Amino acid sequence: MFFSYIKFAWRNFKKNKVYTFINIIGLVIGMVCSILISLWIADEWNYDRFHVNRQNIYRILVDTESANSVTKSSTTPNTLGPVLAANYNDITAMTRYVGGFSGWLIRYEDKSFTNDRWAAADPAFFQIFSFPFIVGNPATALQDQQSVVITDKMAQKYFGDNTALGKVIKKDNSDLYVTGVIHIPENSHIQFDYLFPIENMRRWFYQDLESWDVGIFRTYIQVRAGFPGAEVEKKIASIIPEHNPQMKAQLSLQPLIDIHLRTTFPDQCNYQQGNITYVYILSLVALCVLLVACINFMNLSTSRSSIRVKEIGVRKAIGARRWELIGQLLGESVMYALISMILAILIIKLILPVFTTFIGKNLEFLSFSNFKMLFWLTALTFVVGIFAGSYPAFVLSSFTPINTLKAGLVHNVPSHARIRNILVVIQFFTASVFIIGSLVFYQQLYYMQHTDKGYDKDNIVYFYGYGKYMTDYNSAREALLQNPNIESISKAFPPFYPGEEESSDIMWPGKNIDKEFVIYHKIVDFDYLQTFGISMTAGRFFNSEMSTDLDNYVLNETAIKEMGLQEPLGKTITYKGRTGQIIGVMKDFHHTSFHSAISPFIFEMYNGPCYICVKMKPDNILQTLAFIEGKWLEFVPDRPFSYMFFKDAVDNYYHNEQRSMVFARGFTGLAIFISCLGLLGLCSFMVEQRSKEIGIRKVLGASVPGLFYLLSRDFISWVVLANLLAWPVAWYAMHHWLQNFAYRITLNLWLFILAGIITVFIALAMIGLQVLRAAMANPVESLRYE
Amino acid sequence: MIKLVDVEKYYANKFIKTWVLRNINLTIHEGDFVSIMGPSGAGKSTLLHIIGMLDDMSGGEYYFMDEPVHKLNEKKRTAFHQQYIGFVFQAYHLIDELTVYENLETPLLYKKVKTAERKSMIADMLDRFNIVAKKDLFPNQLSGGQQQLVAVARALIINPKIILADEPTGNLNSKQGLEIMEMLKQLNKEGTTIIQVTHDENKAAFGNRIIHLADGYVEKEEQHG
Repeated sequence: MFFSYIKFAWRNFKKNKVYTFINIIGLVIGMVCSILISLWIADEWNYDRFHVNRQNIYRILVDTESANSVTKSSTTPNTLGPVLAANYNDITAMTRYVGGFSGWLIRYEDKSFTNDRWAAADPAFFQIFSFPFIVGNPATALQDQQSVVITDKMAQKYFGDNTALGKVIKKDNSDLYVTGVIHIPENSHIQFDYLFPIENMRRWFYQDLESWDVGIFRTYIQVRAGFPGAEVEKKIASIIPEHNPQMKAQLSLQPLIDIHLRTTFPDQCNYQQGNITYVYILSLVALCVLLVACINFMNLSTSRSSIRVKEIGVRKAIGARRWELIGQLLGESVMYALISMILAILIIKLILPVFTTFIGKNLEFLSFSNFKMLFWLTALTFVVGIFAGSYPAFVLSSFTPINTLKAGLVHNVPSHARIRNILVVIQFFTASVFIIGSLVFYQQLYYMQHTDKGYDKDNIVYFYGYGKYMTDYNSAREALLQNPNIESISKAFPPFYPGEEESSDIMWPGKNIDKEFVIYHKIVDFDYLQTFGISMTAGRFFNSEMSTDLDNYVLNETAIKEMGLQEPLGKTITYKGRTGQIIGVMKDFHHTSFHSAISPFIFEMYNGPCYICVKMKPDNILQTLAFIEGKWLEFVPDRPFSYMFFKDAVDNYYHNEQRSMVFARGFTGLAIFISCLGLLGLCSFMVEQRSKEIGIRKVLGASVPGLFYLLSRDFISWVVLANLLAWPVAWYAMHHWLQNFAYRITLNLWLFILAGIITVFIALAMIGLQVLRAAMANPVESLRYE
Repeated sequence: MIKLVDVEKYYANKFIKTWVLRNINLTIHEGDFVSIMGPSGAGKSTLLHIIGMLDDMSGGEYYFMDEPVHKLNEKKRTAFHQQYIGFVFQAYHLIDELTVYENLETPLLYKKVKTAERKSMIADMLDRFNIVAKKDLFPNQLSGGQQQLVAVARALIINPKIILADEPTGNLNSKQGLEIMEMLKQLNKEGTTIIQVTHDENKAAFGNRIIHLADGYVEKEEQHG
């Protein structure tokens, strides 16, 4: 029986090549999209889940309340971790961690590197986190102050195929002994190349590890297995003010597995933070594309019922039971799904490398050892097959045989028009929501990238100023400026967001001292304004002629506004114990992404080592870069030159949006495409069904445009209805999404109307040809039967 | 074997009932060869379909081998089909995508006949109808008469007690039509009950009873040889 069904289905496929092709293409696209998105989602979702103790690991967050805001942060006072671990039995282990930064010079024999990312942590780090060790013992790897644990990538780079264990690498003049080689999976929010014991931070970073005032570390704790984190949180919530009454801060616990997707503040973790909203949006998109593809299948299959009914009727007349027919029809659609799945897998195999490069993630797909994935793909095949086949199967098998056998007349077949119309509405509803969604997406992204941010981001490279840049900045600067293609050079620390120090240690006349005021701090020099093309609203910027400017401050507009200073120029303020005058007010610029509002900023000059930002002329960038590199070899002979483009760093603020944008655009296109296929099928069915009516109307004198109107009217009204339904949904969703941004576009009605016009136009284009053909056909053809 | 008591059939359309069959009382015995005649719209086909359980009746009682069909559910009726009833249609209604062999096989598959037995039954039938050479052809490769031959063979393969034929020769030329009628006559002699619907007096004469329908009533019945 089974084989006879397969044979039959196969002949049917071959006999109706176009129909089969349309059906399969729709399913394939649906599957490819949803599988690709699922791979991405699974990857995002699995962040940090490889740690054995993941359920019991928490990161400590600090909520600082101040007059102007509540700031959430993951950096904790340096000594918080040890104090917690010593005083609470429920906390079984604790580690502080800082890292992910590069720039330190590491030497091995005669080789030197600066672009490896360092990290520091307490010895319990490898007890809490289960990064797989390739060699070395996790329990003892960080015990000795001179030990260092490196990643497999770094081991390969430094030592090649030689054993890494016990090798000595040099940080400045200190020796570090490799005690372990680990592998860090890509989906870990902790990313570094080498990790050394935290004690070293005293000498290399001048950190007071017992301080309650300073905090550069993240603190992770592991609680007793099965012990509720909320309990611990309650106990430790207000521990900071107990030790440091100056600081109005509350502690909270963030589960490890929430860090990647549910951290709502910019984490400064030096890895690409995720966003649960995009996981939800894309899950929904994947589901919708699949749904649209299934609906497409249903529509096409039922619209072909006129062809199938005779066969079904005969089968009933010669003894088929209804469930056997349902089984046969479902079997066929599962077979469709299976063929589609095989094609989808092949396509994914082909495009995965492009896809992964594009989204910047390494996704694994279907190795045969991966039974879980095989299982899911098989399950997906059956779900799609059965779901897509269900409606046609039940419809076709429900026909009374006798109605289907009367000389195979089409108009005797129940048309189930209502359900098919609903399906069309669902398809176009989805398409319309997608279109509106991506238009809004695109508008917001365009707005963020093209609105004047108040500074110039193009043609600026930055690097950390070592060597002569540190010892004799002015002559190094002069040497660079000799090149006419270099417009301006400035120091900045940090060069861009994040990294700014935030402090509430600021005083000004008239400050309400009961309320904390948090201000961001940036180190600049004279040419900062010129280099970044920022302007002043009042007063003047730092000037090299004025030696006293080292003591003065410049604030931004937001700071002046939030501090409530009426005539700021000349006012004396005290920042971190140093008193100086406000000499100017800088025009606000968007120091970070449009997600956040502009914060108050204080700028000061500084003579020490800093990032060097070089603004170049747009022409001959490569030569200019070569020139800068040549100078670097001269000024900093012991370090390789490494630089970044400022624009890349800034654009990275919108990494998530940009990536989602491309997803959204692609899938919108595909959803529309699949909907079109469905409409095509439906329309040909309708034309077939109404060919007699068309013939009669023509004989009675109907014109071609009149017929066209008559035939397309229904479809277009369904598409319009779908749009009307889609508008509120899309409005709600996009309004919600836009709340993510402090600076955002307003939703325009014309956007919705545009989506409507697009869908109607597409629908007209799809049905136009067939309807025209029917309207123009010779009526004798269709009436001959009667 | 078949007993119809006051069978009626109508289509209800809003407030108007359109009557197709009324007061049909009919008894058909095993071994009968019944021809149903009548003008277009007399209800011939509907009566045949009701007897064949392909269509529901609106009222009355129908006993098939003493079972009250009007009280049976769909499952039971399908079981009756499979066991006792073979159909032959005017338009042959072979399944286009299946070969002659497979068309003959399909009813047996639905009846869950074992493979070996199935093969010998099909082989017998091909032999008996002299279509062994055609077994791998598709219906559209056969002439109308040959297709109807296959359709009769398909109806017979489940070894039915009764064959219902709805204008079996309506689409055939006279020579082919005659062959099919001879075939049915032969089957009847071998013991199969046959009910056919026809327009054609000559074809009707192959039966031993002719029932004339008009406007949904049984007008008269003739007995033949």
